[in-house]
Amino acid sequence: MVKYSVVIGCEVHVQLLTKTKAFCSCENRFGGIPNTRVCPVCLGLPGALPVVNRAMVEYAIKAGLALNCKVASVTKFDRKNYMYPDLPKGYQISQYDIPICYEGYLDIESDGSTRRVRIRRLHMEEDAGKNIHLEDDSGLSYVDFNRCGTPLLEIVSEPDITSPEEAVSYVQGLKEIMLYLEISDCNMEEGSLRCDANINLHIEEGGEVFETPIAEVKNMNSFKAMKNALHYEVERQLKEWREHRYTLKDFGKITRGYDDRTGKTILQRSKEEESDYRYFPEPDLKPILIPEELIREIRQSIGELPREKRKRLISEYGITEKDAKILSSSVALSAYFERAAKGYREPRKIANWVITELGGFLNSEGISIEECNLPPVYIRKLVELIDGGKISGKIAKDVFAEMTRTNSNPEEIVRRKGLSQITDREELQRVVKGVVEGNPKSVADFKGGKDHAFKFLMGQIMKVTRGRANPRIARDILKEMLEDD
Amino acid sequence: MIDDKTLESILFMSKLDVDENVREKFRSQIDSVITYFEILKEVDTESVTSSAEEAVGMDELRMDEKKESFSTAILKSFAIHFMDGYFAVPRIIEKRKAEEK
Ligand SMILES: [Zn+2]
Repeated sequence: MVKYSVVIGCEVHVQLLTKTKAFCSCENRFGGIPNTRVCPVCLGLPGALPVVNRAMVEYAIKAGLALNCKVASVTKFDRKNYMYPDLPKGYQISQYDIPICYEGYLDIESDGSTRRVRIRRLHMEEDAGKNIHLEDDSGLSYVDFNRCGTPLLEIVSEPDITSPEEAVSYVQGLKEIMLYLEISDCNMEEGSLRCDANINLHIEEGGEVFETPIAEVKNMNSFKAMKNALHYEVERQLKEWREHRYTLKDFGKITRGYDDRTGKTILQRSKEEESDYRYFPEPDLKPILIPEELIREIRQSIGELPREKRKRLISEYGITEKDAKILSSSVALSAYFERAAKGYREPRKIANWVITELGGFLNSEGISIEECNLPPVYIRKLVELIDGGKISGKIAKDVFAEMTRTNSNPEEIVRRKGLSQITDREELQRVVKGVVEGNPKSVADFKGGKDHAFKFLMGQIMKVTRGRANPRIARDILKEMLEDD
Repeated sequence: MIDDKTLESILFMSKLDVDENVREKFRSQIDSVITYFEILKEVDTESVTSSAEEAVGMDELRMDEKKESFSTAILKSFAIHFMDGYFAVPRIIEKRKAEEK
């Protein structure tokens, strides 16, 4: 029995959705015909000079502020030198000693409580190209440089994460914020969100604490892969400790790649230090001054973040955590909900209609909530009609369909189509009497103890009234009539 | 000139697989790259400052507007190996070290 704790720090790369690349005017977009978005700058041809994309800097500040970071008043770029075929220049433009943002944090939920993960730094850098392997005997490998020069944010956390599950929540939290800020699409499969995790164990034994060698785990292409890879790594490090008692002092940091097919991590290289990269200031780019004024402006533009919004929606409207999560995923959607629900006594029902019915409608039409011109107040009016007993839930769905088709007021639709519920006792008594007399066999079945006959008779009442009978009143009347006989 | 062990390790780290017949040529090329890095090490980067005085304002940055990229014809004209739109480079090996010790 060993007592241990898990220590994880994450390095997350996020591709920014700027229109152009980081240091040249080539289009920044995923996929497409290889090498069609390259120029002398991103190919690193001699004499070509990089120019910083303003949008990249603004996005970085935006992300940094949303992550509670401080923003440097002057920031600069550095060259990170390494040799790899997908890096035509032989170096990557990155930021070394003066990252644009630093010392932030992200709060995450873990086991029902809130945990704070500190963010050490957030910096800008450019992405590399992509290698393609073909199974031929040419001895050649193929490179597409379209991705080369794509602006990236690298977000480095402190080793504050204490389990694979927390690591997943942390990255999910980052993703939620990036999506909310609309600065990245964070697609893990396409690689626009990539996470490497540094993980090791602190093992308590005989009053001493031993640290296992830190493994940097790469190639985790989904949240599921991330969880599996980190669980595997905990087990592997425990086993290695038991068998060899290797510590951080013996090995330092190693790099391991996750293989999704086997569910295992594989050693890629041992020992890697920053000095291997030989950073130095980028001579082609001057440092950038970031004015207080700009930081203030960007801070104001951010508004309420998804997590804050979720908490507020739950406390203010009493909706479920699940609904709050869906509604807070988009600024427009939550705004729509709030306009519909404001002041209504049962916001939960409004949330339900917005998520289920309106969401389903938008989905089937293939339009976004921004493109939807149905006034939010119509949703509230519709719910009011149901709650006031004017129409049944079933009829409400028809009204909703009509409402979205004609963009008209639900009260108007109900009036025009004569859809309001029949709550008048006398009128309903006449209907029920007719149904009972017209279906003697079912009446007999019911009296013979067959409960389903009651359902059949109710169905007939609904059929005759085209769904307009108030079900509660109709049921009472039917019961009375069957028992009276 | 770099020794076999260093060459092996560089090939592995850069994920390159090189045929025996061009190995020596490659060795000298890598050697010249490494020599170049040795020269870079000599450069006094401490004196390269990033003082605020020479910094630029946000207005001097590039607006996020797309411009034409290279045409495939131009790329073909200067790439030594160009195939189906791709640049061809020596094969990247997928060899991985076996599980450690
Ligand atoms: Zn370019």
